[in-house]
Amino acid sequence: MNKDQIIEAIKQQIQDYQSTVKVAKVGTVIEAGDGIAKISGLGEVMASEMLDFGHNVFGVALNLEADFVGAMILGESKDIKEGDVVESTGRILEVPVGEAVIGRVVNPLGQPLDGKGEIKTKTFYPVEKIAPRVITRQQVTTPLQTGVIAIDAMIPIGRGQRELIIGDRQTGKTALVIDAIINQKGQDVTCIYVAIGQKDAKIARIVTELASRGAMEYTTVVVAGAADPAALLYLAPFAGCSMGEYFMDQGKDVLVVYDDLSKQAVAYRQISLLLKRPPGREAYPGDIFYLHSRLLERAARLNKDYGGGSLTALPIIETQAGDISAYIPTNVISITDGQIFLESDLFYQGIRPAINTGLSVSRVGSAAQIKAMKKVAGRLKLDMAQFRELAAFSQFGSDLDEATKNQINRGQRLTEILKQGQYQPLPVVDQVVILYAALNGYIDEVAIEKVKDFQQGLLDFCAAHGTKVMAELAKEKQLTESIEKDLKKLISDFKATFKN
Amino acid sequence: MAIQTKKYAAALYQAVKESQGKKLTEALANFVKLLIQNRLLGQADTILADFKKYYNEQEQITAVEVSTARPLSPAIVKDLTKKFSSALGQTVELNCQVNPELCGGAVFRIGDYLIDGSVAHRLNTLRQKIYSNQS
Repeated sequence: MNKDQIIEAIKQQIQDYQSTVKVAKVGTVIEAGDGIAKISGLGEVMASEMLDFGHNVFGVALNLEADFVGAMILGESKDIKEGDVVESTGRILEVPVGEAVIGRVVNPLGQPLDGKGEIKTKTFYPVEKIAPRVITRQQVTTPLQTGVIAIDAMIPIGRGQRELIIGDRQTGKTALVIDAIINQKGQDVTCIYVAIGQKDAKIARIVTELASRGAMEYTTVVVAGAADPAALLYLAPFAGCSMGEYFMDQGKDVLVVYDDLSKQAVAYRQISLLLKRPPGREAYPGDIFYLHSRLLERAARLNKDYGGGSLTALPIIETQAGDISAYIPTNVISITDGQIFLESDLFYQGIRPAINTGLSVSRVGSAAQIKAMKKVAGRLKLDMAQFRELAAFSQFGSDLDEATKNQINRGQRLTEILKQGQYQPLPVVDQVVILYAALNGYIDEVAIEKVKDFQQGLLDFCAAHGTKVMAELAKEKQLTESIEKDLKKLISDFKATFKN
Repeated sequence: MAIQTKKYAAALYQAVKESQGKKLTEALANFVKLLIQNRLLGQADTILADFKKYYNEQEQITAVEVSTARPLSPAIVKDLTKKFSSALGQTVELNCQVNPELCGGAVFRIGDYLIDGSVAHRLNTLRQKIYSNQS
């Protein structure tokens, strides 16, 4: 900004001199601390209106009572003291949205945390927004490829769906969603990762990992760390959702990950109890269900008349000792369109991702799969279910008939195929080829410990000798007779060269 | 508890209104005794503040707080009181405060309303305008 502009601004001020008397509705702080404030006055304040405490500290009015207003403070509450004047702003809390937030790390108020300077945008979205109405919506039909075979094949997630990821601590919940974000590269999906109440070190590690894999080019990270006030933890998912909604309204596809909502529920419980709202089950306030349902309802697939954008939500819930019947897990399970269960037992057995394929479901189902995947995955689900049933038997006797043995054999190899390392998402075409080979008996003779080698070898072989088939499969997205014939030949050719 | 102190304030107002002269001292003394008996002496300040509010409400008095950078002359105070009285249609009680940080102009606070005509506020607006132009 140059000298002339400053002079121009001052000149403007001089001309407007008469009109700059400010009339505001104010109140007085009677009590402040623990991230909340009690304010007397503020007669005409609205619920969830933004309040200005001065010194650049803002708050949100939550409780409107006969004699005072209860508000949560966004930011440092130690500078606020009794008798301070609080101004009502007449606005609802807003966050900056738009292209400018992509690739950035921001806090729930949209202020940058990555030291890359100010976020230059003129568009703002309110944090609390009513979810898209029925008329504006459309069925979920387009797949959102996570790059994880077990999910894409058996628990497919569609664009606009809400799929819960639930499991104990240290079962790979975050790893799963980070893989999903990395896999969105080149798929025209904008990603928003909302980190709630996590250690700053973990967030830094995730951001570095995303950046090193080029995923930050289409990702925004919204951070409310463990050291931030509860008010920011509570707001973070809503802020992240608003940032995503902007892109949805532009007709784009968005993936929003809330990691995790149990910590948000705890933060909201803290605020509610401090505001003296009556506690309910597990001391959560009565509107804890509404808190999560209104957030997750904002995930949607809009129809063509409304731009055709979508917002997919992947909320994460952490359970205590596998107890999925606790209050918050049951709530969120009932809200979402399916869940992915991660179990520590499976994790320690070496099955990673530790997905319990029996308990995990996707209520959108195969509508969100490409045709080729639909064809192979139908068999996969059946084979795995039969394997699970027979696996219990196999522990007792060795006297099994041939068919059972084969079934168990197949199951063990499929389990092996479904294992996948971290940061190794697979393109859907590769997944189809592997599953096709596995389900058509090509790996039944391969030793279990060699299955992964076979898989990698096959993919390398396809990349070298089968570029035409792979390209065709990627284009057609279904197993036509000619593709299937070529694929069979390709796999047989590779198998001939593979040393068991 | 907030309701209770308000009730005491209202009761005190009525007691004071009914009794005049010597009786007034007696009424006040009795009120203090009542507070002691009910162990509410610690709340005396709150009750007093509530009483003040209730009194103003009943007697149609509006308290207007005026903050200025320099002390106001008695003539201006008189003029302001008159202007506010006619504008609000109530008896006005003007409380003057001096706050050098305002630089100039005046800030009025009437109940929940704040009218800010200070130089400090204008300087603030100017600063914000320059900042927003910069981005």
